[in-house]
Amino acid sequence: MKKYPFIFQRLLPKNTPLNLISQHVDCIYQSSLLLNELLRYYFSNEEISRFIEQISFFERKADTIKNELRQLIRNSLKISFTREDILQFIHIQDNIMDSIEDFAKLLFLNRISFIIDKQVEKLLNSLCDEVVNSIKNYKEMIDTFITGYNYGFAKPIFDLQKKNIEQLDDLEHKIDTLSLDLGKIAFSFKDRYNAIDIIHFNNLIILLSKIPNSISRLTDKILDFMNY
Amino acid sequence: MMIYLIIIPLFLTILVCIFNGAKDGIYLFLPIFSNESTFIKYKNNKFIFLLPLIGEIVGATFLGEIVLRKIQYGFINTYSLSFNQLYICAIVILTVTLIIFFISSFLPFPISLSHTMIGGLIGAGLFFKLDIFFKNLISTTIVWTITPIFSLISGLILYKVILNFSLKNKKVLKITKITAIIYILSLYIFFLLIFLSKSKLAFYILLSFFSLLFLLFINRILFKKSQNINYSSNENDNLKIEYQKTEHIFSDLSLLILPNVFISHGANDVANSISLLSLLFLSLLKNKIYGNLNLYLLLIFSVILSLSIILNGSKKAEKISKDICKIESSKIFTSYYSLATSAILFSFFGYRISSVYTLTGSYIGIGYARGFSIFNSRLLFTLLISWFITFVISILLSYILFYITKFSGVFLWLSKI
Repeated sequence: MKKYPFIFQRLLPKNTPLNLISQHVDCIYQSSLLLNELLRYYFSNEEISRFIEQISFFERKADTIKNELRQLIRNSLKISFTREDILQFIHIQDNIMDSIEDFAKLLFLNRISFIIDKQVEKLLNSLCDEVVNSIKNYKEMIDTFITGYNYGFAKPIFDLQKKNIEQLDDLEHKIDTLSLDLGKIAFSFKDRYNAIDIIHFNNLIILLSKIPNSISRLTDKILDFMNY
Repeated sequence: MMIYLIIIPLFLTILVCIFNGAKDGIYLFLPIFSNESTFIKYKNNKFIFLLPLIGEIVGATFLGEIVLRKIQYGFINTYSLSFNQLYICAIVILTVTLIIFFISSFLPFPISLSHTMIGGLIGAGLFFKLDIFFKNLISTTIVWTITPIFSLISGLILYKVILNFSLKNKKVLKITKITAIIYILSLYIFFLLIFLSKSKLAFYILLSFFSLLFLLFINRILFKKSQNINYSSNENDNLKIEYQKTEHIFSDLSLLILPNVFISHGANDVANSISLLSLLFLSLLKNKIYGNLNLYLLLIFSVILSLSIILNGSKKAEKISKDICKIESSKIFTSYYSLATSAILFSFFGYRISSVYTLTGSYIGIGYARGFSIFNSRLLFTLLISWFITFVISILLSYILFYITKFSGVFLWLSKI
């Protein structure tokens, strides 16, 4: 015989949009933690396929969560935010996950034939560090947002979120500067090295620098949600 | 009629009490169990189960009689029933209640004991062609309809008050400590006033009980060292810790008003379960028993009902709690507060209400106050339809069962023994 859900399960579903967004961010954060080691292995010419597998696993998990969220808000339940806003939000957030996965896959697809000097390697590592930092800060911001939601977005939460946004803006600026420097270096090699390698290297930088831009768009959305 | 035959309605009443306790216990404990931090905090503390027991007994013993009399004499003219007719009535209505309890476990919505009981009484009234007091029936129907809406509005207002006066404050922990005292005192005073107008003994019992709980709470929030925050360098973490501490205050508050929830529940449900059995005993033992028979029955069955709540309901609630979203303590407190005040107020006026519908109404109210990021607002409508169906089905089912008993010769057999 069909087992009907208990009335409280129908009244308050186990998964809420905020929970799912938080789980999605968690996947992004977990995969971002692999980036530094991935780069280290890449520069030392070691096998990186296991990192690709792990990142793909998180990407699949994030996709499932995204679909679950879509399904949840498609049901005839009352939601505190507009459905369009939530869909747009998760779409942008998913772009971050895609960027991380694309970055890892791009590293896997092609080994750069030229020898990257220590300065470039250091710059690329610090770019990667800042991206991981910005994802970590963004995760904290989402956690504070969820705490804030349960407390009616009190003033201390607003103030803290503004501080978090300022920190993220600083990181975005740093990442932009780093990526510009790296881009300049990449194109300065155009007469000496293979053009495909240079484009490949540049694409890696573009993919990483896209992440803080997406985060910046998301922080604007969070502020909109808080003022909704 | 042989006196030992009374054992059948007695047995059926015990069963109704057990099933009702198991069913309602899930709803009443579920919010607390859904919140992991509150649940872990109190899981091994048997004190949590003592509170419902005390609440049920106090509610049933001192307020249950108002609801009891309303059910016994407020819907049909039970005075004009002979003892044999009353006996058949008790067995049929209690059987119908148990059948509906059984059917409801396969249905997507809960059923209410009061709707089934009153439906059964109307079925008896129609079958025996008794006077049906439509005025009371209509007013009860209106109360059934407005209680979830009433608790929705009270839940919404109360959550907004808690949000604006406690949680949204800059010094959230300090302000919550002060406002928590006001919240709990207002509820206790409201309950004491209700009981003062009914029984002085009940007033003094509750006054001592509430004073003890209140002092324990004051000691906990003002003098316990664990309430102080060790600030770290991370502001995000500090804010989270501060809100966690605030949540702890609300989980203590939720526990403190648990007796009030069960006082209201006891006043309603115990009276409902024993109404027919008490009628039978009253006509059987008229002037043969010292004191108030209703009071004895209410006391005994409140213990049975609360034990069922504690032993059956809480276990099932623990199991189901893993499948619902975590409810923050401030929302649990709001829903309990709203349920306790609505139920006690309507019980005071003799109206039987459904705890499940009232609790659901308060959660929807909290949802409308933006307490939940997602909730099912249409569920209240589904519940209103479900009580209407339960009511109609119990009228029809009891009528059919009366017919069957009549034509199977039970009436004749009873008159011979």
